[in-house]
Amino acid sequence: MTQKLWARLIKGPEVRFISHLDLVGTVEKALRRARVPLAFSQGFNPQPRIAFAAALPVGMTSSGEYVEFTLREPWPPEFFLKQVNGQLPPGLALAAVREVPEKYPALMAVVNLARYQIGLELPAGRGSEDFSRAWEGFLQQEEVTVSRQTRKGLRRFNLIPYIYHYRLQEDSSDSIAITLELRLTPQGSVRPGEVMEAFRAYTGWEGRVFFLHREGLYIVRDDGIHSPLTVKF
Amino acid sequence: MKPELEEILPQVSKPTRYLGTEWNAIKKDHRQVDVSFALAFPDVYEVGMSHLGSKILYHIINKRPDAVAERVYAPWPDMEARLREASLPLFGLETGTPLAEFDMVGFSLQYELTYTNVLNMLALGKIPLRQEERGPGDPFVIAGGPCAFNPEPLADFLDLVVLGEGEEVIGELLTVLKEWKQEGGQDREAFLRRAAAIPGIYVPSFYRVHYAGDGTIAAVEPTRPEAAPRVEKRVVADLDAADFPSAPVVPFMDIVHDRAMLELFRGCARGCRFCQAGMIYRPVRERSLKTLLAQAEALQRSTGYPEMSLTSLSSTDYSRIRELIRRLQEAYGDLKVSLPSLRVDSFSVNLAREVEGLRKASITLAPEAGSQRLRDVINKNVTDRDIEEAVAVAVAGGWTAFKLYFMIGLPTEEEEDLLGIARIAEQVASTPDPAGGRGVRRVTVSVSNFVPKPHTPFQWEPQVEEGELVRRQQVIRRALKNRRIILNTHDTRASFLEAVFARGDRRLGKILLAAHRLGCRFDGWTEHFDYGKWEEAFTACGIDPAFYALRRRPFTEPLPWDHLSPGVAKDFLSREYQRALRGEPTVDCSLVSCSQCGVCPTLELPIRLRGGDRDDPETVGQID
Repeated sequence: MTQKLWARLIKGPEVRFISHLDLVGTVEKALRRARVPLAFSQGFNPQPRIAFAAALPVGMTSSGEYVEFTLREPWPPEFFLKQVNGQLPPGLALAAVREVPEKYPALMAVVNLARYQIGLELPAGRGSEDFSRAWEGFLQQEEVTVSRQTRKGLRRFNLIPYIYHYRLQEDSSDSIAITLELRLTPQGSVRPGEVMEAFRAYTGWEGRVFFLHREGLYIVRDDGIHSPLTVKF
Repeated sequence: MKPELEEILPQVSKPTRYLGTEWNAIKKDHRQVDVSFALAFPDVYEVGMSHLGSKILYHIINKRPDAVAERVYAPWPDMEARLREASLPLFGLETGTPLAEFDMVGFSLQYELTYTNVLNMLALGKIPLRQEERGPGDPFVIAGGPCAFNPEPLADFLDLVVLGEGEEVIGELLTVLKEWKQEGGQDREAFLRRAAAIPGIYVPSFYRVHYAGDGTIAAVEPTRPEAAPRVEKRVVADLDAADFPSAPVVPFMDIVHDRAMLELFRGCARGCRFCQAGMIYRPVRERSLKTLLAQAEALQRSTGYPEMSLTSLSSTDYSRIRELIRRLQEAYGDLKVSLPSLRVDSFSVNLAREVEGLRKASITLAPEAGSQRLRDVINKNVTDRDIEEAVAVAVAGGWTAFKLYFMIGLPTEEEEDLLGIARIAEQVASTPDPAGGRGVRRVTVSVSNFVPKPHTPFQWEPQVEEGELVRRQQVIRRALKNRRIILNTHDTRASFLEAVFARGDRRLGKILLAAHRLGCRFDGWTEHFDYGKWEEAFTACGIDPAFYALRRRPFTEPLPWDHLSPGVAKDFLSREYQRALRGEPTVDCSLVSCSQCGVCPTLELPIRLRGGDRDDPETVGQID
């Protein structure tokens, strides 16, 4: 009997420069040190069954990364949490874990929304209304092309369909806080850094992005937005 | 982390090289300890972090409550540029302490083409480069590792050099350093004289080199009573009693050898005549099975690595290798065990087959030379039949990709030997799969250029000159017909420089300084190697590099490293050299009889086959 666990992982500033691939390896080693009875994939090169819901861009912190672990024998979730947290390097911690039924879909197949917190400078002489106007003008376009250098070459796509929702808040007299929700789709997603770059390029905005944080990943359905740790299927 | 560093890291490649917060990294308050030591590795993080010796010293120094050790690696050029822009000095990874604030900076010398990185790291650390320019408050700059057996090209820059294994001597050295600091710590010469009295410690500035009219060395003369006429290496007698790093640092990024390392034994008695490691690490000393199993358990618990490598110079020679592998596989079901150095014989390949299971990437074999005659010259005791059998067993075991390692430019090498390399590669490529599978898919032939090394039987030999090496590479390339064979050759100019510095003397210090000032660093990396700058340095200093690399040295000529001893007698080396020219092999002393190399009586130490009785010879070579 295998056991499926979904956990929320925090990636703090100490480890924000770790790439996604290295993060997976770091978590795997922590689980091995904790003696977690990990289940392995089948095949010539069996791999431990650890699956992250969505890769986090390098350099960004997060309070809500989600990971699915499959164990070959069940562990009480609280015990799992305690054992693994004792083996994670500074900056990484499991905040919560939930046991889900075997029949639940794979976490990465259902998570479809990412919420980011972005801190943006207001340049001298420009207020929050100036920003709101520029921002709304930017998002009213039908098409904003992002070019991304990938290993397979240059990928170009429209970022507008990926914008789900946003909220603006004046942070202080010289900065603005943006809560930005972006869709994660099987075809891909746009990074908040790419959105902000496109915004700056379109509007000529001079303020710097000084803060970029992923608050969490969610599941949007007709019945609302759910956290992976409470959603039911 | 320092705010300046926060700013820099997003702009450089692989920023986790510079974090210092990896699992098992040890952070100590420098104000709470008496002595601080920077373990410096003159290459990039992923190479340095793969080095076992550094892990051992990190563990031993940090175990002392009165000492701290931090790691520092050569910053990659993008990081170097940022550090210079921000005027940030090179720092210890754990606390960010500038290099110049450590009491001692110790470099591991693994490869001659890292020497400019030593200078560059000192410069980035704002430490005066030449030892005579350092004064009170500056760190002592020291070095160890295989190249320390001829550290003469670096003599101008090093305060002292450690010969041989560091486990015991590092503690003695730190204790002397601590006492000296407590007495005021001003008179550097006083410290160096006390250090020179410790066996295994060589202080280059305490020796005067006299040169003859023809530019060769006439004599090397100690100038202080503490400086021994001949410094003997240090060696750990009992590896079971030696401290080992039970909780090594686990990097975030993928490094060159990204796995736990279990060191089975030190030394190798096979006696390959080109191999410096085989000469300087004698005698063979094995760890017991019991110790190894306990260490494996500690490594599993402390690192969580999914793979464990059984390291040593020739791991399948460990007396109880099969038993060890069996016990590890029983204890840790999902642990991958790997063998880094396979001997070319069916026994070794069968072992690899057992540990690799179904996961088979490629198999690496090193016949080194293309003919039986030349393999006898270099004492690589591998026969054509061994090669054939090893390959047959590997193909039957399911391997489809082979890597073959050879050297060219070996003493006495002829056309026939080069064609032999091509012939072996062709044979491997066309080995049929008895099970009717698709057989060998790819053969990668790696041909390196022979570099004569100090303290080996070939230390008197000239290196084959560049143009001829290039021609020999072409002979092999032309002889290869099969399109599934890929030939990789090495840069002959880099090999030439390696040969110059391997057997160089103190006069090369100027060259290193000039090359450093011209911007040379990471010379072992093709993308950063700029031979033009080296030529400029040699011309500017009026030194002919061929004098060091291409000249046959008479047996009577004093060699720059004659006052440094790995325990192997010079007359053994010359005997071996003469046997080589006659094509006579010499047997492995751990298997047959003593070859009189002199190491055991000199170091008063017998070989130790602690694994116990060898695995039952009846079953050796069988799969089950």
